[in-house]
Amino acid sequence: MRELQVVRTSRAPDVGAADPHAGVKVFADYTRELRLEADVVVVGSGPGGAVVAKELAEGGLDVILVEEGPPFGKKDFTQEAAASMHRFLRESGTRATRGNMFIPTMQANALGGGSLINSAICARAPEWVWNKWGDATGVDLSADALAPHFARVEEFLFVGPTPMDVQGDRNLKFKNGCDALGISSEPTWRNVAGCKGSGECFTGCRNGAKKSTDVSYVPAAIRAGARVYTSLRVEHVTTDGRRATGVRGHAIAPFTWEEGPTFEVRAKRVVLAAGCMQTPVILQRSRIGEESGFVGKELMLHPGLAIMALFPDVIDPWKGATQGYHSLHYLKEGIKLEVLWSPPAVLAARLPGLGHDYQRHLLDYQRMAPFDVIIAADRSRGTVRAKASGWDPDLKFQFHDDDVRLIQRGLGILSDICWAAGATSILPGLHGIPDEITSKADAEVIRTMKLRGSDTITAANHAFGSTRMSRDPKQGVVDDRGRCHGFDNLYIADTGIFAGSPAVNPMLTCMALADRIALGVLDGG
Amino acid sequence: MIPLLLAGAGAAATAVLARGLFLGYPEQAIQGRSLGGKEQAIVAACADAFFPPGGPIPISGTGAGLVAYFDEYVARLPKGQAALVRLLLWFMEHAPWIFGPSRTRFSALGLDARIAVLQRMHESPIYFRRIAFLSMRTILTMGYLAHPDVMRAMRMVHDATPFDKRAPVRSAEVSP
Repeated sequence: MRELQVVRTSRAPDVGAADPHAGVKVFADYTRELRLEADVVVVGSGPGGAVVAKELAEGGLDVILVEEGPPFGKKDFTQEAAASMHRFLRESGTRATRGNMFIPTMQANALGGGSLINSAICARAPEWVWNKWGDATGVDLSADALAPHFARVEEFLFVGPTPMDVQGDRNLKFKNGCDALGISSEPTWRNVAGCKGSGECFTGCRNGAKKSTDVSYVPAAIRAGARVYTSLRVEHVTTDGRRATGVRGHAIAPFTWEEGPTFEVRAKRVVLAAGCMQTPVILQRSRIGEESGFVGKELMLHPGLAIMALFPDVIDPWKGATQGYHSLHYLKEGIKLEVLWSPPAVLAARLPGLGHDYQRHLLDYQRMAPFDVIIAADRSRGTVRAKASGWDPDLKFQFHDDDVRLIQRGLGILSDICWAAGATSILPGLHGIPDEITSKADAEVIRTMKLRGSDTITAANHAFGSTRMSRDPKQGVVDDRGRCHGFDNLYIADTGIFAGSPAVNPMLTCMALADRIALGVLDGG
Repeated sequence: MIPLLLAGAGAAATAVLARGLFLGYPEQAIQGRSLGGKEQAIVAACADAFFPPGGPIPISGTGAGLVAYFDEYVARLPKGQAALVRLLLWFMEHAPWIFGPSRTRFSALGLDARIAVLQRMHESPIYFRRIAFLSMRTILTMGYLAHPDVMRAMRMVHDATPFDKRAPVRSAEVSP
């Protein structure tokens, strides 16, 4: 295995006023059928694919990075919720899993993938996660083995704690509530340099502070010689026996989704990093990995629920780092507590009241802070299937009763944090109990009620496991180096390869694994 | 004679039903990209039920331009999702017919009755009704909060550098 030189790892290039996407091909460049060749084709420019593309390019390989979405810059970032979702998200942000309830879930469609519009939280999966993954599928990973990869990514992306001077009252209320209860909490670590506390991570960072992959790993890959093609939708992996020979698909017009010319990339190695909801569709349409029976199976989510806390004084929740504080105190139970933020209108839709009463609650919004709980949901599972037509996935997810009970426990703790932080009322957002609760004693109903998943407004934007890694080819899709069982040169490097929940936000774990996969490829693995 | 009477009564009932369900809509409010006149009327009825005029935020849903906003929202959606949102509109429109309390379409009800229908949807034991309510409210709230007068009333700002104008957080604000 290549020796990792953590101290020599470079940092993301300072693009300054330069265009970080110089040289990136866009839809208008595709006037006729496109045929390309490379050593490696990487599909997807999000946290997994961008890392692989940069590392392989710097390793001397001829890399083509293909992305279905277009590139975006600061001028494209709008704070209007629907316009932003339409611009950056697949299915205009309306995607939801079906099953015993609907769970909204998002997938970006942009150069940089989810890193462009997530809250930039970088948390290492704790050591016991690797043991659980090993127990589940026999893979041999450990915190020690992954540590150098985590470190390389963290250094490259300027990962560090959210500064206190941009936390804002929304985040500090959470900290104060945790402190009052003796619950450990900390500033979230994020891939951000120079955060201004705009709270706009989910609609794109207007300050250019977030080191999303489109302004970090992708420019570094280009600098190392990688060629980047956006607005190309990979539909099939081409194969010859045990070897992948490339990918093919169509150019796709941004925002209208009209098909343009076809394209084909022939390559000695293929790396799929289209995300755990899209990579299975490509594999299924290519009839790859059917032997294991695990392509598109074992989809896992981190279901999340929020409580709105109402404070006596104005806290201006729209000011402050998007998710600047969290608590890992109950992580081993599968519970992560954190401050929540998103485009304000999205959260406002769950405020109580109708008519003028709803408007009154909107006026109170300036005194509110949303806190949320996400859970590991180890018992819940879903599937990703290619639809009969089109390229969007059909997602099913069954929220297991045990996991509903776990999230209910998390909600109870969140409620305590709200009161300890000085809330005068809370808005639990649960069907069957009052919309607004004005005392801690009354809030005990959150713990005692018979809660069903369908009583909640659950969302889940951490998704993984749909092409999971396993030692035994009959138990998963890839090995612990990301290589597809039964193939010599086909890899997967997105969260689909997770063999279980990472317990925390998945981006950093995905990037560390992608770094490991890339170095493995360079070593001929 | 009796069959004739029955047929006449049936025709009259059908006419009333047809008018109740499909006729008597106002003129198309805007030259939109996606919604027809009836759909625009449904959006307007929903918009003012969620955000009535004369309230603590003075601007109403229609005053905030939610018909045009909704039209644009649907126009930008992929075809499949656009069809589902249109279906949502018609579900809203005929929810009173299906679930009560009166056999009148939503857009023909008075404001208080429309708010009462929304309240029943919000509190319904039927999951799909609650989801329909939440979906409608989410879309309209996104539009309402995009209006500058509403933002101003809520003191909501989209400030890229909110802390550049004031001193850094004081240590007293942070418990040790």
